[in-house]
Amino acid sequence: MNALGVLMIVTLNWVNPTQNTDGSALPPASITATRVEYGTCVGAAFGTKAGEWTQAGNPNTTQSPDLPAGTWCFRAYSKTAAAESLASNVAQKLVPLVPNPPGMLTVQQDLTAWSIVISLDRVAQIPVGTVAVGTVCDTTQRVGDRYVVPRSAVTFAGSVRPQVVLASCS
Amino acid sequence: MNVRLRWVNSTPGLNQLPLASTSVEARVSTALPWTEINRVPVPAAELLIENVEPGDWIYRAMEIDTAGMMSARSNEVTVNVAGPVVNVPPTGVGTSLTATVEP
Repeated sequence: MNALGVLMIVTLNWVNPTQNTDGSALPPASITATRVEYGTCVGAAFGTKAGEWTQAGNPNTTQSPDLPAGTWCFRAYSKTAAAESLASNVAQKLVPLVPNPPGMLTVQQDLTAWSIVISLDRVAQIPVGTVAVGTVCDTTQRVGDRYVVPRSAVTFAGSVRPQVVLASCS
Repeated sequence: MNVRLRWVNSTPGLNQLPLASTSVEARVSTALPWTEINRVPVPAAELLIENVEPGDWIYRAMEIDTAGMMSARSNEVTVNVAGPVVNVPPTGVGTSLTATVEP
């Protein structure tokens, strides 16, 4: 599953049938599509249908649309130009709730303010001053284990006052 | 602005191992510790530091032999990296404006 905000995409796999219900051979090319239904679950059984999508051709995998958190049941139907099969077994997948990130990350113990130095093939971080205790860190911008902090909270030790300053936050 | 550091690698004597690299360190104030910013393999003898923030930077270097032993520290060089040019309005004519009446 791939995380996409609080929605997730579920990948389904199956084995295409090789026979018709009368035992006659079903060439792979005869399968024109696979229709997949998704919905709620009642125990291990399919509950109420919430939607469907069709995977064209005869692959043996497909991906769902974005699904919100919950337990989802899936079943698939093989299609030929003439008919559609009965439903497959039911597959079940839990799309978990994703917690929000922690808030109010602040500078507490290591008060060193850092800048970034780029040379040749290496990026280094070098101390440039100190950060006020309790400074709120920008949790959306992280380099290694340090976060961007506002310049206004930094006491620079020298004349170098970089635009981007990093600090250890907890 | 970029800063290019250059140095001359020493020649190992009979009781010295071959050089492996040069450790380049920097700091922005004598009140702050040195930080290794790169380790340049021999025989290279220069290091380009890119997009250096404006202000005074102090650099030094040390050689490291193939056994990891380090030389004494080099001299320190201080580089003042200028900030971006800021255009300001023209000075103006001040009080130089005069008028004369012509026939």
